[in-house]
Amino acid sequence: MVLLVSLGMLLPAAIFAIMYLKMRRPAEVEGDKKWIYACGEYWELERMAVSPQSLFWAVWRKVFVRLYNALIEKVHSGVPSDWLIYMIIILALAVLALSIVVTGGGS
Amino acid sequence: MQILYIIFQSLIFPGLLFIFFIALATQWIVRKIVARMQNRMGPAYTGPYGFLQPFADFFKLMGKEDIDVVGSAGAAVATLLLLALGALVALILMIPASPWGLYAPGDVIIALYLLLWPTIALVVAGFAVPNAFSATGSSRFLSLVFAYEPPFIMALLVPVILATRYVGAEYSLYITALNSATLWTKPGSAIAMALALFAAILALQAKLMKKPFDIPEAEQEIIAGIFTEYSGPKLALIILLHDIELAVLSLVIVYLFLGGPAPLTGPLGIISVAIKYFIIVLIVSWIRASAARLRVDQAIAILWKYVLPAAIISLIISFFV
Repeated sequence: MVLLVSLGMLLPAAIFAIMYLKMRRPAEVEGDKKWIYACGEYWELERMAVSPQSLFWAVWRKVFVRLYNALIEKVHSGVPSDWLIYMIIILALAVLALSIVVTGGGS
Repeated sequence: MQILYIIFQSLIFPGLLFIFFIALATQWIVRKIVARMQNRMGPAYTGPYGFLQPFADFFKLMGKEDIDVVGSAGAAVATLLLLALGALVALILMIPASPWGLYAPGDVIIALYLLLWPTIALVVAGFAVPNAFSATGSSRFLSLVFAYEPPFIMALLVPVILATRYVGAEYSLYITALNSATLWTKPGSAIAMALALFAAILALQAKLMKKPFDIPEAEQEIIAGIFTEYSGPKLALIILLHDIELAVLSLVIVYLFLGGPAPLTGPLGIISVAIKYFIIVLIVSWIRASAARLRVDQAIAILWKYVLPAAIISLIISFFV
């Protein structure tokens, strides 16, 4: 089955590859036309990188900070062991869910 | 003999040729629907009612110069895009759109694997060029992936689990699709199917980067996001990948959730599938035409607050009914 699906995947990919290679026109631009410019000035390749702090993590930090603040206000009494209780509850639920999945819900 | 069938299926029907035509025809339908909703004409000049416009766009882009900017991994991106296109065509062989479909116990795992190819290709495409807008687009898309992919996968698993329990589908996508109409006949499984369908359609909207989830390619903020540096043949492949993804995933939803050709049988079933397919495309286009773009944190919040719980509840119900 895996081999047949792989065949079914690679054959169309090969046809698309032939189309791509035969139909495209080779690039004619050369030299400074391919260089990187920003605000009219030439930039080094290394300067084009965006720091990870500004990318992926910025989004998640924003999402989780809001969630964390909501949790702090609503479910935390101020006693540190609250987090321990929540962790145990969540792990117990995870074990329950896994056992349901493994046993197929008792069927 | 089976190899010959696979070759015919993957290259002609329902594979490459068929899905290529359906995908570009679907692009025309989406463009027409969105244009009419926005008081525009949409494609109008190439072919009858502009039907051939997507085909003309594709072949024109394919014949253009293939430019890679300095420091980009153009060959790797092209290879990934081609493999992602192949993966989607392979996925269509695993649903009963073809008379000699591929199936085996547990093949849903293979289907989920194939579904990930377009996502990986697009993320890599954004990070493979030295452009801040592309990297930002890819980063946004990667953030969205973690929000929409779990509910989408859970939603797809619901009919498979139900069919395994009721008709012994053995976690096979193909056998589930053959029996998905019967899953709506029992109240408990119907509720699970309805919730999973809701989750699947909204997650599909995010997966396809259609409004309100078009954050990775937000024109007014990050030029074209992931696609900023792409032109010519690579842009043609990216657009084709988007169109084929919409076509294949809509067909998967039609077969897994809406019963495929049911209640009609035989050649009339094709009409039934076409109508259901059009309804899914209409819903996607309608949301796209009438919704404004969300911020990435708003999109994640919506996907986690409404779509993920719906998918989890439907999954839990599917284990107990």
